[in-house]
Amino acid sequence: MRAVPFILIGALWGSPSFAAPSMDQRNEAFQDVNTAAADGNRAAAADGLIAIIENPDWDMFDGEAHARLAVMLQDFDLPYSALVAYTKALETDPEGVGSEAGKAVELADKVGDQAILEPVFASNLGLEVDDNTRSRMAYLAARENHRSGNLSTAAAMLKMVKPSDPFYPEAKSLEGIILSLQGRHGDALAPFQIALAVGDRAKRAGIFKSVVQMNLARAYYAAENYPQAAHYWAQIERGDAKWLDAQFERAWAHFRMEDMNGVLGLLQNHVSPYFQDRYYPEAAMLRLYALFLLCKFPEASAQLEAFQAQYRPQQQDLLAAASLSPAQLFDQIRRHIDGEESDLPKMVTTSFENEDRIRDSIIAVANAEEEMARLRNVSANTFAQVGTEWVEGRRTAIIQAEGARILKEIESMEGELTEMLSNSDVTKLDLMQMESRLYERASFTGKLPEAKRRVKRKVRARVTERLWDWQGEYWADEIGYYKIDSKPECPENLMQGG
Amino acid sequence: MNRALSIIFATLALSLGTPAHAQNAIDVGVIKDDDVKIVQKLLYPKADKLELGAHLAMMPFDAFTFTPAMAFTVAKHMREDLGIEGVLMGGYSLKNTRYNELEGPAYGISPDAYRFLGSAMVDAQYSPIYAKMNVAGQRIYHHDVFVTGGLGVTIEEAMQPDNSLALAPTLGIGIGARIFTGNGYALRLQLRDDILREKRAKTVDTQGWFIKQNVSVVLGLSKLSK
Repeated sequence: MRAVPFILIGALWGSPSFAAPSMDQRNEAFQDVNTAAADGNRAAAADGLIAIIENPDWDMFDGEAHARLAVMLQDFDLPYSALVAYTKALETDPEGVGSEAGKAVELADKVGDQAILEPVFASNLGLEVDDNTRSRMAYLAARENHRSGNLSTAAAMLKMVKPSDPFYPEAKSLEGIILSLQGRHGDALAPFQIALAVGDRAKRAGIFKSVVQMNLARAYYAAENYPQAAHYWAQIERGDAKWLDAQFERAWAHFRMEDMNGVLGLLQNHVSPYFQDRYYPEAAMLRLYALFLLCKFPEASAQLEAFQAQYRPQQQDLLAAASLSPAQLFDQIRRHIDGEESDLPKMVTTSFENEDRIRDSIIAVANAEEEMARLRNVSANTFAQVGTEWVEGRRTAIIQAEGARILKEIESMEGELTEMLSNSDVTKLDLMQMESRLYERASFTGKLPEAKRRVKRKVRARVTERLWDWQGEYWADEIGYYKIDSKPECPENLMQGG
Repeated sequence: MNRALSIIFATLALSLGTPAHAQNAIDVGVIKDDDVKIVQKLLYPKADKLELGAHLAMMPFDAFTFTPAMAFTVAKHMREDLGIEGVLMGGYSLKNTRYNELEGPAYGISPDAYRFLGSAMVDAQYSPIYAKMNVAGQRIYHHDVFVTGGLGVTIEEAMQPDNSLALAPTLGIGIGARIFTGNGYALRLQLRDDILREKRAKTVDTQGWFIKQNVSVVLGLSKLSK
């Protein structure tokens, strides 16, 4: 079993290259370039390299010409064009220019576009490079394979990432994600724990830490260790961007532990007026389910009404957003992240505003635009025209890819909401029936028999806490501190506890 | 999920299928307010913290003087509701309108008023009330209300030309509030009454001790240690 990834890597190790050209051919091809370079005319030399690239007779020198052009473009302080040139060089002749991979990685870091190298490294991990470069290449190649769904290959590549690599915490985190996707939730725990530990040591605070904690909690949840899952979700601090997600997911863990009051306490945040513009329909449904299991039918009906009132307009907003093109969507998210006015609803922007990938893409697009502006100043040169074309192409590719991803997310949200809303009408009828029977029974017997409780809780405050009585009003500073202890009102021997 | 719900609905329907006999309003099937509590982590804890404060004060209620002053405080909070505080206050009493009127040609007398110069007090501070307020539906301010009581000394001088000094043992009491503004800072508003037992040189033969009250309004900013 374990040999499979290495066989796959072996298959990817190296790509076919052209038959070795003779020195005479080489001298002939690069004659003009060498002459211009010797005369100190670097622009003419760069134009000469473009001529070689565009000449089908010299296809065998494409890799070298791209690599030499990359060096020149870097000298001209055109890092994005140089990065594209290196990428093309590595694509065309990976073995011939493999030693330049390290420089390509440096440029990718500089312009914020590591993604451009991921496909080429995924196909050429066996290049002759130093250990540090290979480690970085392995991480980028693993990301590409993860994205393409080649999970085993990606996992094997991640084993090549060195602990001294600056992206080692990210690599361990990705390893955990891949193992989770493979259904090996127990095995995923160790990489996530390592990612947390080395991330702390590497001072990876903020979103990295919370994302790893969330994934660790999810792995525990999937491994059916609900108390431990709840513990890790509870570690996400109240001010964290992932806090509301963590509260919602933690509610699921409490649900699995049959702690319905715990579910209601955690989801009280989501039904508060502060988050009415966020997208948590599943939280509303989970809350409804918990109310139902406590036989709080009138409350569940009210919850359902509130769900429909909140999410019907949001569904329309999502439909409107889904009509935008990928480029428009990317632009709107970019405006939002740059602190400008965005037309997208908040439920969409919050999904992306703390995501590393979209932020990296925005930085890359901004760097591309800045470089295109500088290239326009020297547009008479062939190399500048080609550089503009390359960078513009890369910019468009990023915008299209990210915009399509945003659109897919919006469509997924809209589809989910449509289904939930249509099902909710049926649920509403059922609930009304249950509610009226509950009232009938209560009026008949005078009271409802008390059901057994599964979880006993006594609300008390520690020295570092204050206990406030709930009087039906929401205070922003109380969000996250709700405790609910409501008795189930189900007939005995039927169900559930609180 | 709806499938799961449907099964539970069906099971419950069988159990609850009892005819109605009366339609009394019964509070069933809802989450009552009593079921919900807020167990809130203290956003601005004081226990085991040191509090340093700088304050502006004035004594506007004296019959003959108006006194601007400044104070510095250092408090150690042993518990959330109990602390001990040292207060150093310095000021300079000015003649008020009434004093000037008495000194004027209509009356021609100089009241035997004493000018506040400074005081040093050690107070116990008890803050049993912790609350919060919503200002204009926007910002929420957490605050506490405390009472203080302590002993110390006050130094004053006669406003009459001999400027004789009086060092008075002082009992101080007060009430105040601390409005937490974030980052460990608090705005403090306090009303304190320092009761002085003052021996005045000019009247020592006729009246051995004067009891004087310096009532001050104090507004300041304090910083709680981390």
